[in-house]
Amino acid sequence: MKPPKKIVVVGATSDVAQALVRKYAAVGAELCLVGRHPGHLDTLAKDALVRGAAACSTVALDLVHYADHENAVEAVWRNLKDVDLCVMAHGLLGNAAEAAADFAAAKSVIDVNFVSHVAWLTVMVPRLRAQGHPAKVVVLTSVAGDRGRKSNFVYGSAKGALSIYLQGLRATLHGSGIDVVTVKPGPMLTKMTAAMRPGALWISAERAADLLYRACEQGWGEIYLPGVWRAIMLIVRTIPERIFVRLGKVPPAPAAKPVVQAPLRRVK
Amino acid sequence: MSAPKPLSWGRLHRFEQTVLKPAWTPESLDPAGRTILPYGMGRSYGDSCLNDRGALLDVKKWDHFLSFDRANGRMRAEAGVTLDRITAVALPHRWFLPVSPGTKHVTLGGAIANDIHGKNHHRAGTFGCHVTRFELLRSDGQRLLCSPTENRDYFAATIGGLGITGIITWVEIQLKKVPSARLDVETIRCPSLEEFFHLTEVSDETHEYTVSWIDMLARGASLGRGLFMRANHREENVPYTPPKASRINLPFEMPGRTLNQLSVRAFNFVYYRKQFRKSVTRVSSLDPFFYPLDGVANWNRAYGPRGFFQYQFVVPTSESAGLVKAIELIAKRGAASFLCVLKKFGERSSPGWLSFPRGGYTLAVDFPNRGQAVLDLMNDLDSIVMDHGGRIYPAKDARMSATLFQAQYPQWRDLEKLRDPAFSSTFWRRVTSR
Repeated sequence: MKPPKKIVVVGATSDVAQALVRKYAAVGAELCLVGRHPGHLDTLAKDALVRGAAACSTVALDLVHYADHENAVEAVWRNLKDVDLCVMAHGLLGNAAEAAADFAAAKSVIDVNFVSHVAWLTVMVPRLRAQGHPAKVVVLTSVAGDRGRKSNFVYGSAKGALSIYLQGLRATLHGSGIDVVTVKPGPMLTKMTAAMRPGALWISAERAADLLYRACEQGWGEIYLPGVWRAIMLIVRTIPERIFVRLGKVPPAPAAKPVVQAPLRRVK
Repeated sequence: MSAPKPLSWGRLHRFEQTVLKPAWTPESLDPAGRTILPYGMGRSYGDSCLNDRGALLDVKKWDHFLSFDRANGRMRAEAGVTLDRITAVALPHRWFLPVSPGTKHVTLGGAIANDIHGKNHHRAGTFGCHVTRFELLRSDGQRLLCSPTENRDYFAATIGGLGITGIITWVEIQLKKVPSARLDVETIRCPSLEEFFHLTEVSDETHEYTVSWIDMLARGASLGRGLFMRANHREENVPYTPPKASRINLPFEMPGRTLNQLSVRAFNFVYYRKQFRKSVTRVSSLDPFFYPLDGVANWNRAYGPRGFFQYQFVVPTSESAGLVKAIELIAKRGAASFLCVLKKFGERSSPGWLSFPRGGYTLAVDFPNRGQAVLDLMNDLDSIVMDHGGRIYPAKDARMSATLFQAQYPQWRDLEKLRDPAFSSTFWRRVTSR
């Protein structure tokens, strides 16, 4: 029997990550879950153990506290000793109108969806290389990052920046044994999107996790999830900007902002 | 496309209710001036899982296992975990549900709130008999650990308590060891009720599971004819293979008249004669025996846009005359559908105050909603059930009167005393109104 695969899941409390953790638990993987809420992580770890995980530890980390990443990565290695796969699944949708009008809101969206990944990977990747064996990094970005649109472009730009960062990282690590896989999901029925109206192409977190599992096991490069988005986004990207700016509904203008900082709605 | 309105299984009501979907078991509850009611898979047939003009607290996200001792079969899980998930996790280790209802798509919380029963009631009693502990969160912030020895009143009130004593956050149950994941099932053609009474008496001694399907349209000498099924877990050493997920789905409501006397009569005729021999024994996996209807997703849509009633009652063993009268009446009116189930409950009593099962005969019949005629029939059945000291299953009910309910469940006042003031349901308001 092969030794259990050692997997760290960042943003483990997201719906897709939860479903992915269950799939890996069922095949007896050894897991380390990273996320913000220690109580929720604890529940997920118990669940993974009942479902068959060889072991499941947790590391509490608020991903926008960049100074803590070093210790968190250290803790991951303390728990797992060795890492075969790192999945990053955290994200913050934010409120599009707020993010467009309020810098603090926009910064928060960019921090969670881009800067935190850079912080984590900067610490993590050297350690992965130092292990001296093949390993894989799988990061969830979004189809929203493929082109800036009228709706929620702050979120889109952060995800787009992340996709480009990952392209560079993949090229840099080419031949080193560390594979970087970018997974671009379309919209999913999760906590993050609970307030939105679902459309025809929306998929459940469980279905997304099935596809994500496949990406983790045998994926390479950039993967759309489900695959039909590759074709859709190819078309979306080729529409000339002059035409593209006219398309779609103009989102309602945000109400005039009071000077005080608007409360952030964290949907995670 | 907006989120579908929560319905009960009978699809009789279209209520306005707010649905709350907390992602995690909460630290505390905030009813915000409304009454709330836990909502799981919506498998209750009537209005006991609905809360008109109130809020439903959907617990489906609370689907985490918390612990499972593979040596002794003790399992703890959040209230939204469904029985099919428990089977999937436990059966590879030869542990199975102590009580299995007619569908595996029910949550642990719902299994307790309705104190569900199964084909082994004559041996195992109800689901509540195997609950060792649960946590109850009340709207005043109290967290009560309930078990046969701790907070015993709340334990007894909550088992069969229809979800109104507070919200169950997690549950601990004792699973049962099984020799394999398959059953030896014997199906016996049973031409009359007399034969059913005889078979059930004999089989309860020899078989762990017994149940009958009845042709409710047969009359005269054939009254109560049907198929008697009895089963035991198979002693064998075969590795567990999970059931295939593929199944049929009814994607939309069928026209209201699809199920009429003619089609039901034809179905019953064929079904009753599906085997030539008197008795057929086969090896079966668990799903087709325990959950035959789960093979067709949304089968309740077959009853059309007006929905259907299910009527399930129990009469004591000594009052089998009441059962015969009820079957005669239903056959005479020709109102029943093809899903009619007859079973003899055992004497093992449940810890729950308002638990439905008691020693005796229970009959469950589906009636398409044809308006007044069906309501009249059920009122007439009520009289028979009352005359013979029986009672009706609240989880299936959409129409019994307050007087009837209070006569059948005299302990309702005790439950009312322990009801969480912020919790209520359409059913509870209906049967406790004066």
